Amino acid sequence: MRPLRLDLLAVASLLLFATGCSQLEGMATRYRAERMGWEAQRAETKIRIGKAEPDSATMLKIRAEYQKLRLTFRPPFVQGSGKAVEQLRRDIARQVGIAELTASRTALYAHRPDLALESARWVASIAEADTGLQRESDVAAVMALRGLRRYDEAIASMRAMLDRYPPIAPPSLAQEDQLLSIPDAIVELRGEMGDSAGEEKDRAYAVAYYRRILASRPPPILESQVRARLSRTLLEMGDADAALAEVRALRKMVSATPAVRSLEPELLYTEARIRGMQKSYKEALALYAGVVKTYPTSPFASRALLDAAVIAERTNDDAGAIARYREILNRPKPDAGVAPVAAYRMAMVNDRMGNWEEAKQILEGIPVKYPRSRAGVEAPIAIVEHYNRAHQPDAAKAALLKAVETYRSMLAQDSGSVYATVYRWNILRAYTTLKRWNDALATVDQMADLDRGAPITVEALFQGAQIAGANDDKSRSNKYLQKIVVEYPGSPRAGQVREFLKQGAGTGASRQKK
Amino acid sequence: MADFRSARAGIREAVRGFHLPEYLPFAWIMLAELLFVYLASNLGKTWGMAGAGWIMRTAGEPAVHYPASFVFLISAYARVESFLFAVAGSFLIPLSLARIQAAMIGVPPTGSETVRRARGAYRATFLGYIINLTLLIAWELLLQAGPRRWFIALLGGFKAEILTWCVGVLGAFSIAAIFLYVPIRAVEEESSPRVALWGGIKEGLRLFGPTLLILLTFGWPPLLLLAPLQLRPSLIVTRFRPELIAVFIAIAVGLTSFVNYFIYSAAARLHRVNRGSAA
Repeated sequence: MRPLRLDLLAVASLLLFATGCSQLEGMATRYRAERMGWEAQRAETKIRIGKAEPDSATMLKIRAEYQKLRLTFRPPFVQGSGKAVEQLRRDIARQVGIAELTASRTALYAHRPDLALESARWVASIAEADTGLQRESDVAAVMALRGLRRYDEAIASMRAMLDRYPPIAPPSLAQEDQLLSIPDAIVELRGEMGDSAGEEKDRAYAVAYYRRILASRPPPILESQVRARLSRTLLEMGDADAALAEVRALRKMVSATPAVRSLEPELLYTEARIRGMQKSYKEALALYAGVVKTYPTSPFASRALLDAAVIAERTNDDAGAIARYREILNRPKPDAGVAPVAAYRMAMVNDRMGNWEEAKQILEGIPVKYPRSRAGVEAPIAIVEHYNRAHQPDAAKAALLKAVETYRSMLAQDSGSVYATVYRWNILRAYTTLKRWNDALATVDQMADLDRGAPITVEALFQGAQIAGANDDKSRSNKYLQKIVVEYPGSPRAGQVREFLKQGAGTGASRQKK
Repeated sequence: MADFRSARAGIREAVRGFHLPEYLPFAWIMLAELLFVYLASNLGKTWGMAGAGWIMRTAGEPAVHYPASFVFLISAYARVESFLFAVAGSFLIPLSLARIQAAMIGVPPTGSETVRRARGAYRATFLGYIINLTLLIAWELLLQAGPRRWFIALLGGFKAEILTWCVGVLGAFSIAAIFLYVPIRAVEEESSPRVALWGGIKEGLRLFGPTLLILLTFGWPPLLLLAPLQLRPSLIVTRFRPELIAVFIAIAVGLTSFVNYFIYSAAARLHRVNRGSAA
């Protein structure tokens, strides 16, 4: 009996020792991973010193720092089994995964979405049961796919996320689960693709998604956030009655639940928008004024002023419109999304009222003040259009040259801007109008290279083929047309181009131009 | 006034009369503390985690994560120091004192007699230390509940924290001054644990001013080093390097070891002078 007891004791001790060793080793490994993550953060801070906008090479250097974790710690990270070891394994995976996701984000800033996608996919492969990490890796993959202009895949991934993860109820209204913004992101992406039919379809999908969440009776804060988004989407679809019903339901919630009181400005604003859609302008204006007066610091105050100004324009109250636009621009911290639109529209109203000098001054200032806005893209062209309308060809020509100069400086400031493709497209349009064919074709080449995958690049290539054809450069014309067929087989132009090529390459394109 | 003069003389003599065998017991405590700091600074190694991880964990789960482990290192070190002083120090401090007194009574400092005296002083020293520690904890709680709030209301922010720290240190030194003579009396030949404990406390109260002078004279260098670690550990972690805390603590450990020796040496001299004059 005695030796057997000793044996058992020895085995039990060995087992305990082995388990303890795995756990200690796991704790030490986790500690090392944490330290490496911390070191990467420090290295990033050091690398960024003195660089307000780091270039791609710098970003890739930062990425390399974060990638050290992935290269050092390899799955399964810790040997052994047991609950504690499993937990340690998850902790280490999270640590390494978060660093790799930072590497993915950094690669995206370095204009290397291919690397970003690879990192995101790797994180997904180690996430296992960690839903949080899985979600974050999915978000990173979507961003990378957008960067690669693989929009359909990005949309499919986002839809899969909506199916896979239920939204989390936040502790307060100030926070919102990222998941709720995905339906809007899908619609926005469709807009970027110029797919208006898809946009409508995805809005309907968003409405169905929000309704599905509401049907599962979520906690009050989540419910209010979903209802707010639902009413907004319904409004964008033009379904004023359904939006109003949601607003009423939300109002009921707000009066019953103190935690969601901060939704009041949004409610009032949405109700005003609905009234505006129903053409009850007087009522809408009163409600918008209520938002501005009662909640002057809310982000909805600027939006209310903008929408009220648009209604004023519609009702021929140009002075009222200008006063509201001015109020938006004179606010202590003008809303970055609303101010450029207000400035552009104010210039248009001034132009209509005959105050061209003031309008021109405003338009020239928009790309400088708001370089990362749609209004910044449109303002230089608006000046050209004014001179065209006024039949002043020389002034229009000068304005076109100035527009090219403006776009070039904006590209120099931020070549990775979301508007970079549109800048180049507008440069191409300007050179075509100015009949500077060589410059126009050089821009087409740039777009073919830098804006590959963007729908507007197909148009640029087609226009390039026309220009080359008209200038008897058939081989270049054919090269552009071939690019459309090979790289954009699904685009509406591709079928047309195939026909041209069948008929005899560049001749078709040049004939069409003539 | 005569006591203050004796205290100053004791301080000078303690520095001049440094002897390695007398100091060695304190060196053993220092080595154990340094070992802990080294292990706790190497939690990324399995042996580091095995050696110090379980102690660090007593300060909370974040204490075994990077870089929080360095923020918690100072409180974990304080626990280890308290434990070592209570368990090992209750023998080693009387041993050092017995060696200091050996020359005065004409016995060899490293002989068996000094070990016997140190062993005999264990119980009184241990009890004295436990009471000292309990009072220290109570003082710390009292400080947080009362004066700290008043200082924040009066001065606000960092100034209030500095003042709280200064008052805290002064209170801790005052408590230590009262119990300083317990091991000194415990190593004396005729001393029983009860006599040593109460006699030591009474002597501490009687010689409170001169003893506090001894403590403050020797105690300020490690305090200066520990102040930033106790007041703003997270600042060192975020602005500089977390590992800097371990370096500061290691230097403080070394300094404190000598400081403790000099304090006990000077106090033993003051005790002898006092006893002589009483006789």
